[in-house]
Amino acid sequence: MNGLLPRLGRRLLVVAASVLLVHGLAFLALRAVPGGPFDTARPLAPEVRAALEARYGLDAPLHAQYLSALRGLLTGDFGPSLHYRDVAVRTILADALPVSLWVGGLALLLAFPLGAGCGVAAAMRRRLEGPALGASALLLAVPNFVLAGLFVLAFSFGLGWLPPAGWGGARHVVLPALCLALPLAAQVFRVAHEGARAAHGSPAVRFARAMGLPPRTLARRHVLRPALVPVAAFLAPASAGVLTGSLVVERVFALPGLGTHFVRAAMDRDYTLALGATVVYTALLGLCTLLGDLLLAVLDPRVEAVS
Amino acid sequence: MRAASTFLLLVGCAPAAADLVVVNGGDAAVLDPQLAQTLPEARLAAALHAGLTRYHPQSLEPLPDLAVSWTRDAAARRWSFLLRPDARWSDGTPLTGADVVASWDRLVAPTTGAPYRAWLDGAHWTLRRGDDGGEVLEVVLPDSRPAFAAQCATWPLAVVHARLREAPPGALPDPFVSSGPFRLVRRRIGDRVRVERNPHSWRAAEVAVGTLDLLAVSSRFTALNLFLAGEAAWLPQAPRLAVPALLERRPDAFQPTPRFGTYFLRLRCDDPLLRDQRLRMALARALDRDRIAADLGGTRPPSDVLVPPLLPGAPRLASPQAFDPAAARLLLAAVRADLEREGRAAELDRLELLVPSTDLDRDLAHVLRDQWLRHLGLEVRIVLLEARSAHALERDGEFRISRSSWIGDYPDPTTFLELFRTDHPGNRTGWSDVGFDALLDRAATAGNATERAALLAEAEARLLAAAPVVPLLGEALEDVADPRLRGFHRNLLGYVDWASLSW
Repeated sequence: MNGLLPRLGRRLLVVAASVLLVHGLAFLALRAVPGGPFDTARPLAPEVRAALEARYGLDAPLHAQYLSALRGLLTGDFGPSLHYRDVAVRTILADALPVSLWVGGLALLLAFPLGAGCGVAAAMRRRLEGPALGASALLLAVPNFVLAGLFVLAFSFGLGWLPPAGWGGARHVVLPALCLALPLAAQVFRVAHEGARAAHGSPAVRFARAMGLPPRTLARRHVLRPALVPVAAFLAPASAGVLTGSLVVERVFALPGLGTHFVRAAMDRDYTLALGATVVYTALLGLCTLLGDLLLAVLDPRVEAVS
Repeated sequence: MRAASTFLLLVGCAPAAADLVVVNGGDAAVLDPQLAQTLPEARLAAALHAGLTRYHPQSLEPLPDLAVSWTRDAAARRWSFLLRPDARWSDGTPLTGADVVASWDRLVAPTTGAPYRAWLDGAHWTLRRGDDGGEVLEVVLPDSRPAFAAQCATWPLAVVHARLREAPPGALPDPFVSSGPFRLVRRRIGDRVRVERNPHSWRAAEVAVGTLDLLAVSSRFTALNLFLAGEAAWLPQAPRLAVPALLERRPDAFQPTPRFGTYFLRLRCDDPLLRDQRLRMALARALDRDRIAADLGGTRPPSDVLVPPLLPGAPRLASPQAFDPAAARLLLAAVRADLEREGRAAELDRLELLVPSTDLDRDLAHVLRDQWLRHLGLEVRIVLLEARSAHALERDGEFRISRSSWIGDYPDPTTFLELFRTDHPGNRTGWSDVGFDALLDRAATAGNATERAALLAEAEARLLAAAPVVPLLGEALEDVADPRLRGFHRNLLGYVDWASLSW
C-alpha cells in the first residue's frame, strides 16, 4: 500500500479529466442534433422564441455558451433547466439521484450475493449447474420491461401485495429493485461461475481436495476468493449503470429517478439538465471504477491498488 | 436533507395519502400559467390559478370566477369585467384589479416568452371604478371575439402573483402564491404535484377534497395499472392497445367522447411539386378516412374538415376533400401530364411524409402510404424522426408533407383557422391567401353570431379547397375515470374542474 495516496490522487485527477472531457463532448453533441428546447408542436412566434433564447443565454455564441456551461460545471450550478423552466438543474438532480441510488443500491445488494453465491455453488456442485445456467440464460434473455409486467401481474394484481407503480414508501421500491436485480444477478452468476470453475480446476484446489479438505472449507478458502476477482472487476461499470437508474424500469414503475431524466433531457433538448445528468453519470462511473479497483486489490494482492 | 427525506420515505414514514389521486399524464414542466403549453400544465394550472372566468365543467359555458359579471358590446370587441371585491391570494393578501393588469402586461411583454402572447396582441385594458365602487376591467380587443369570455377561462389569461411575475429563470417562489381553488403543497419532478384546498379562494366552500395529488406518469400502461389497482381515480388517456378491452370490460369508467381537436397533414405549398393545388387535392381525395380510423383502432373519428363540427350551432361543411379516388386519379393524371411535358415526372416519386416517431404516428404513416399507393400508385417515402427534430424541420419549412395535430384552446373555430393566416407562426405550409385572411378579418368584425359563423365556414371551405392542410381524424377524449368520482364530466376540451370533484 506504499504510495497509495499519491496514486489515488492521480486516479481522482483522471476521473476529473474524464468528467471535463465528457462534459465538452456532450455539450457539442447536444448542440449538433437538430431541434432546440423551444421546438414544440405548438408554434412559438419568432419574437417569443428570441426572447426565450435570450433569457436562457442561447442567443450567445457557442463558445460563450460553452464557457458558461463550464463555469456551471466548476461551481456545481448547472443553471435552470430549459424544460422545467422554474427549477434549477441542481434541484432536479438532488431529487432524482437519491431515488436511483436507493433502488439501484437495493438491486446491487440483492444481485451480487445472489449471483456470486449461485455461481460458486453451481461450479462446486455439477447437478446444480444445468438448471442455474438455464435460469440465468432466461433472465438475461427476458427484457426487463417484460419482467416488470410479469411482476406487476403477479405481485400487484395477483397477490395484491405491492403497488404496481409510483413512489411513496418501501413497498414501492421492491418490484423495481427486483427487476433491476435479477438480470444483473444472472450476469454476476455467469462471471462468478466462470471464475469459480477456473479456480475449482486449478492445481492448488485439486491438491487441497486430494489432501481431504472438506468441500465447504475448500469453497470458502480456495474457490470463493478467486471467483470474486472477475466479479469485482464487473462490479464497477455495473454499479454505475444500476445506481444511475434505468429508463425502462423507471418508466414502467413511474419512479422519479435519474434514468428518466438522463434520456428525457436529451429528447427535450434540455441542454443544462442533460449536461448535469451526464456529469453525474460520468463521475459516478469513474468513482465506481476506482472503488472496484480497490476491491480488486484487496481480493487479489497481485493486483496493485489503483494501478 | 433530500436524502434524509427519501430515507424516511423508504423506511415507512411516507407522507399521508392525498384525498384524491389522479394521473396528470407527463410532467408539468412549469407552474407558471403564462408559460404553460402542454395539457398536463394546463390541468395543473386549472387547480392552482384563477382567471376572470372559468368553464362550466360540462357545457364549457364561461362562469364567473375572479370577475363576478361581464358585459360586451354588440361587436364583441369591448368587454367590461366587474371584479370580485373580496378576492384574495392563497397567502390571504388581497387580489386586486392591478394584479390582473400586471399579469396581462407581463403576458404580452416579449421578454416573458409566453407562447400565448398573441392572444392579447393589439388589445388594451384599463381599470376603472364601477357605479357601486367595484373595480371594472375594461378590455378593448383588436377584433371581434364572441368567445373572449371563454378565452378568459383558459390558463394563459390567469392572474399571476407578483413574486411569480418577478421570479428569475430556474427559481420558483417559496411560498408559491396562487389564486385558484387549490394551493401548492409540494412538487417533485417526475413524481407528483400535491395541492391542497386554498382556504382563501372564493371557491373554498365548493372544494370537497382537502388534498389532491396529480401524478406525473408518462407511460399510459403504467397509468392504467395505477387506476386498475385503485391507486389513481382518473387518467387522461387510455393506452391505444387497451381501448377494445376497456370498452368491453369497463364501460362504467371508459366512455370515449369527441374532443375539439384534429389530426391533419400539412403540405408545403412553396415546394416545387406541391405548389400545384391539383396534386395536393389528389393526395387529399385519395384518403379514405373511415378506413384510416378503422385501421388505427382507438376511438378517433374520421374527419375531412379542420374544425371539428362539435360546437352548438356550427354549420356542417361539405368538405371539398371528401374521399373520391376516381377524382383523385384524374387530378394526378393531369399533374403527371404537365410534369412529363417539363421532363419532371420522376419528381412524383420523391414525395416524403415527415412523421414524429410515436407508435400512433408510425402506424398512421404506414396506413397513409398504403392508401396513396393503392389509390394513386404513388410511393411516398416515410421520414420518421423523434419529435423535437420533426418539429424543428416543420418550423423551418424543411418538409413536403408532415403529420400535425391541433387541440382547440377554447371552444371557437378561430382557434383552428387563425393558424393558417399568412405569417401566422402556426401556418408552416407556406400557403398564403388574401381571400382567406379577408374572410377571417370580416368574421372578426361581423355584426352577429350567425354571420360570423357563416364567414368562418366559408374561410374553412376556402382553406380545404386550396388543400395546404389535409384533415384525417378527429380527436377523442379517451380518459378513464372512477365511476364513484362525483362531479366529474367529460367535455370537448377535456377540461376538468378539480374543485367540483368529490368521492
